[in-house]
Amino acid sequence: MKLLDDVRYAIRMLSKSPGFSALTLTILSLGLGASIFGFAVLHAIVLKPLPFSEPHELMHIETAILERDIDSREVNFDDFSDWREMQTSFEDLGAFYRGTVNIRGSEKPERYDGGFMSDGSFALIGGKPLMGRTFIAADTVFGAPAVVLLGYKVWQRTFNGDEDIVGQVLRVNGRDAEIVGVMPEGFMFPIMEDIWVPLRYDQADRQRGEGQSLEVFGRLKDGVSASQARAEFQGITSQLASAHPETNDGVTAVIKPFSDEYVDEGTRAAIWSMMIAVTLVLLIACANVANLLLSRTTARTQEVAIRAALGAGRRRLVIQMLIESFVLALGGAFIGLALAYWGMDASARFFGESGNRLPFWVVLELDFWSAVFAIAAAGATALLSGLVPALRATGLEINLILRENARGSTSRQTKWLSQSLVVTEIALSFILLVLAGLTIQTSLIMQEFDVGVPVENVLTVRLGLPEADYETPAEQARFFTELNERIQDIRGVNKATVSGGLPGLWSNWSSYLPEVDEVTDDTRLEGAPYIAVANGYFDAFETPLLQGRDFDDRDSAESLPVVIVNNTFATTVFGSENPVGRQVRFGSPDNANQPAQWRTIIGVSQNIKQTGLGEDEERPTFYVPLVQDPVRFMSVALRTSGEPKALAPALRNVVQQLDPELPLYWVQTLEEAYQDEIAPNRLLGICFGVFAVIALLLAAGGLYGVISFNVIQRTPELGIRRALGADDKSIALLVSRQAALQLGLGLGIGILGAVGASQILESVILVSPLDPTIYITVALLLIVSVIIATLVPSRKAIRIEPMAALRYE
Amino acid sequence: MNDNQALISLRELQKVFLTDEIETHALSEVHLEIREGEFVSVEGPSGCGKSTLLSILGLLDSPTAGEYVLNGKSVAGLDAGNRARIRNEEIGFIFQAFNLIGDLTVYENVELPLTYRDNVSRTERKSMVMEALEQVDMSHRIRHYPAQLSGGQQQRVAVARALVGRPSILLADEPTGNLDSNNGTAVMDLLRDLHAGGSTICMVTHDPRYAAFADRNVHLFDGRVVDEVPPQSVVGAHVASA
Repeated sequence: MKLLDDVRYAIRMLSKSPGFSALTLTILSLGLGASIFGFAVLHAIVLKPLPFSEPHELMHIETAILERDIDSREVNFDDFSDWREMQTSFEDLGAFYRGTVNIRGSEKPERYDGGFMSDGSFALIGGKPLMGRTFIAADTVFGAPAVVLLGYKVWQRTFNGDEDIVGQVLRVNGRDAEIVGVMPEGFMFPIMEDIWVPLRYDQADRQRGEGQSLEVFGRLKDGVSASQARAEFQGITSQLASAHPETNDGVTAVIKPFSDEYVDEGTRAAIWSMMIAVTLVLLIACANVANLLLSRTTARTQEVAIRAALGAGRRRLVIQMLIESFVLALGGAFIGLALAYWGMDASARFFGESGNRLPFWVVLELDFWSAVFAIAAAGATALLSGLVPALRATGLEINLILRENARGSTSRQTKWLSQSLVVTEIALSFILLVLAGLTIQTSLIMQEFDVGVPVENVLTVRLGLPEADYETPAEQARFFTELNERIQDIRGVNKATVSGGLPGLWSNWSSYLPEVDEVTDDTRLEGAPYIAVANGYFDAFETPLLQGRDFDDRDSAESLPVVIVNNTFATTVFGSENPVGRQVRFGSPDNANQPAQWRTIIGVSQNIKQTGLGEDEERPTFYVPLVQDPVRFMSVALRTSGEPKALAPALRNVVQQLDPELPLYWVQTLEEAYQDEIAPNRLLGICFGVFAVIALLLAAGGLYGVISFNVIQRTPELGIRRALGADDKSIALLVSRQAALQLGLGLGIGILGAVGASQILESVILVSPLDPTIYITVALLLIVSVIIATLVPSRKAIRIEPMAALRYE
Repeated sequence: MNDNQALISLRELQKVFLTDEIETHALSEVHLEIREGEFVSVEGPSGCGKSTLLSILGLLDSPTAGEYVLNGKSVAGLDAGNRARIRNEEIGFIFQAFNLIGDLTVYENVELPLTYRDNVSRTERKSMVMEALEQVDMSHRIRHYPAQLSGGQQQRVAVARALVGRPSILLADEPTGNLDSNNGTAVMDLLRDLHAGGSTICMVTHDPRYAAFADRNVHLFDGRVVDEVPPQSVVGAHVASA
C-alpha cells in the first residue's frame, strides 16, 4: 500500500512540474528507445539461440589450409563423405549448398532460393515436415527419381496451400520432381531457403575434390565437447592427407558453433559497436537526467527537510525520490519501446526493400526479451540517474534548511557533481560522435564509390541455368552467347552485355602465375578477381581498352585461351612492358575445381573495381571470354537512354524465347543493386547518425541546463560582482570559463575513449579508426554546441541588475 | 511548575561546532528538565543557542556531549534511523516559517507524519487527520493548498500536523515569528488551549509577550542556561488586552 501511495504521490509531483517531467521523459525516451532498439538488434542477430533443438550442439565444419593462409574454405563432397564415415564425435554430419531452384507450376516460371541437402540434414536440426517427409538416403543417389520438398511460402503461394500436394509432380530446375513434403511455416534452413532438393553428385568421371563445394554441419554426441571433436578431426584430416596428398595435403578441419558461420565477425563487430553507441546515448541521457534531478532536488531540499523532520528516515526518503525516477524511467521505457518498435519496423522494411536476406531466425522485431531489457534498462537508468541526486538531497543539514527556510542552495559537492556529469556527457558524446563519424564516412564512401564505369540507366538481371537442361559448358556458353546477341536488338537498348558478375558486385577468384615468374611454390601464388564476360562487355560498360583488342568471334571454346587484364594487372606483373601477347597461368594444378590453364593476354582494359564496393585498392583483375569459361549463373546488363526498368518485359520475352522455363531474378537497376549492396552499411550509418544527433542535442541541452541553473544559483554573487564594478565581459567570461573547463576536460577524456572504442569498428569501416578529420570535426562540432549552449546563460548573466540580484532570495 | 515526571531530561549537554579548526560552543553544560504537560519557553538573544537546543531536543541534531533522556530513554547516541522514528512518534514540530509542503493539500500536509508510520491504516489516518484539523479549526480547508491560506491559517495547519501523531512533546521554534500580532496571538491561544488539554510544549521565542504564555521561562546566554523563572507579569497584561 505504501508503495502504491508513493507511486501515486510521485506521479502527482511529476504532474505538478509538467515542464520538468516532459523534458526528462523526452530525454529518457530517446536514451531508452535507442538502447532498446540496439538490444533488440543485438538479440535478434547475435544473442538469440538458433531455432533448432539443442543449438549449442550444432557445429559448422569447414576446411583450412593454414600453410596457404586459407583459414576458412567450404568442404568438397569427398571430404564430407570421408568425414561422415570416419568420425565418431558427431551423431551425424549433414551437408548442403545454397542455390537457385527454378520451378514451373501452372503459370510462369519462378525462381527461389533453394537448399541442396544431404540426407539426414533435416534430422540433425530437428526439422520435421508439416506433411509428407524429408529426404532419405535413396533420394540423394545420382539418377534416382527427382524429389522436392516445399517451403511453407511456396506451398501457399504457388499451390494455395493444397492439402493433397504431396505426391504431385512439379517441374524443378528443368526436370519433373515429386513433391515429397512441405516444411512448416518459418522453417527456411539454412538461411532463407524456400525450397529444398536432394544433394546429388555424379560420381562418373569426377576427380576427387571436384564439384560443388559444401557447407558441412554436425550435432555433437552427448558428452562430446567441441574440442574433443576438433582433436578427432585432426586425426581424420591427417589420415586423409596421407591417403590423398594431391588434394588433402595441409588440409585441416575447422569446427565452430553453427551460428558463427552466419553472423560473421564483421557483423558482430558492427552490432556490438551499435550496442556501444546506444549505451553511450543512454549514459548521456542518464547524466542529463541526473543533472536535472540534481537541480530539482536542490529546489526541493526544504520539502525533503520537512519530511525528515516529521520522521521520514533517509532510506524512506531516498526510496520515495527514487520512485519518482522509476516512474519517469518506466514512462521513458514505455515510449522508448514504441520508438524502438518503429525503429525495428523501419529497419526490417529497409532490409526487406534492399533485397538483403538475413538468416530466417533473425527477425527484426521487438519480442519478450526486448520488453525485459526495457524494464531492466529503465530500472538501471532510474538508479543511475536518481540515486546520487536522492542521496545528495537527503544528506543535507535539514536542521539548517528548516531554520533558515532556505530554498536550498547548491553545495560545493552538488556543483562538482553536476559539472562532472557535464564533463561525462561531453566525453561520451565525443566518443559516440567519432564512432558515428567513422560509420557515416564509410557509408558515404560506399555511396559515392566509383567503380570505374557509368552506372546510370542500366538494367540488370540475374539468370541461372538449371544443371539438368544445361549440363555441359558448351550448352551454357551457347545459351548465353545467343542471349548476348539477342539483347543487343531489344528496342531502347543502347548497349548490352552478359557477364559472370557486375562491376563492384561480384567476381570469381583465381590464383595466377605470369610467365615471367618461375614457379617455386604453387601454394604461394597471388590471387586475383576474374570474370567471364561476353563479347562487348567493355563497350557496354564504356570502359576503354588501353592496349590490344576486345573479345570477339575469333575467341571460341576451341581457340587459343585468351584473357584481357586490367591496367593494374599489366603494370603490377609486367611493369612498363606491353603485356599483349604474353602468357599468364591461371588456376593451379592442385585445384580440381580450377585447374591450371595458360592464357594469352590479348588486351589491357582500364580499371574497373570489380569486387566489393568501397574497396580502395586497385586490384589486378582479369577477364576471360564466357565461351571459354562458361558458368551457369550470369548477369545481364542493358544500358539505355530511358527508364531502365521499362526494358524488363522485353528482356523477359527474349529469355523466354530461348528457354520458357527460365525465370529472371534480381531485376533492378545497377544503382539499386549498389544501394542494396551497401544497405547494411547505410543502415548502420543512419543509426549512428540518429544516435549522434540525439547525443549532441542531449549534451548541448545538458550543458545549457547546468550553466543556466548555475547562473540562477549565482545570481546574488553576480549581483555583488556587478555592484563592485564587474563589466559585461568579465561576467560573460566568468560564466563561460566554467563551460570551457568542462569542454576541455570532456574532450580530453573523449579523445582517449574514442581512440579505444573506435578499434572495435576497424573491421567494418573503410577509414582509419584514428582519422584526424573526423576527430577534429567532432571536436569543432562539440565546441560550437558548447558555445551555443553557453550563449543564452551568459547573456542572462550579463543582464543581471545588481539590486535585483542582491534582492534575490 | 508541573509536578509530573520529567519527559525530557538534559544533563551537561554540549554542542560544539567545528569550522576550519575553530571551535564554537553553541551549548555548554545545559541542564534542563521538561515535565509532562509543562509549557516551557526558551528565551535569549540571537546566537545564544536557542535554536540549537530546540534542534537537539527535536533530534534534528546530536549533542557533542552530555545526556539526553526522552520519555525515560537515552536518545543522545541514536542512529539516524532511530532518531527519525522517534521524531515521528514522539515529537511534533512547529516552525517559524510553517514549513508546509506547497505541493500538498492541507489534508495531505497534516497526514504526512502518519504516512511514515507502518501501523496506521488509511481509515485511522483519516480520522486522526480530521481530528487534528478540527482541533485547530481548519477542517473546512482540507482541499486547499498552503498558498491559498493566510499566514495564521498556515501556522494552524502546521500545528495540526505537529499534533496529528499524538506526540509526547510539541517543539515550537518562534511559531509567531512570521505572523502579524493578531495571527500571532491566535496561534499562541491555540498553543495555550493545547497545553490546557495536557500537551507538553517547548517553545523558542524572543518575544516576552509570548513567553508569558509558558509555565516556565528558560533563559539562555552564550549557550548556557542562566535563569529559569516563571513568566513576567507583562504577559498577564498582554493576555488581558488581547
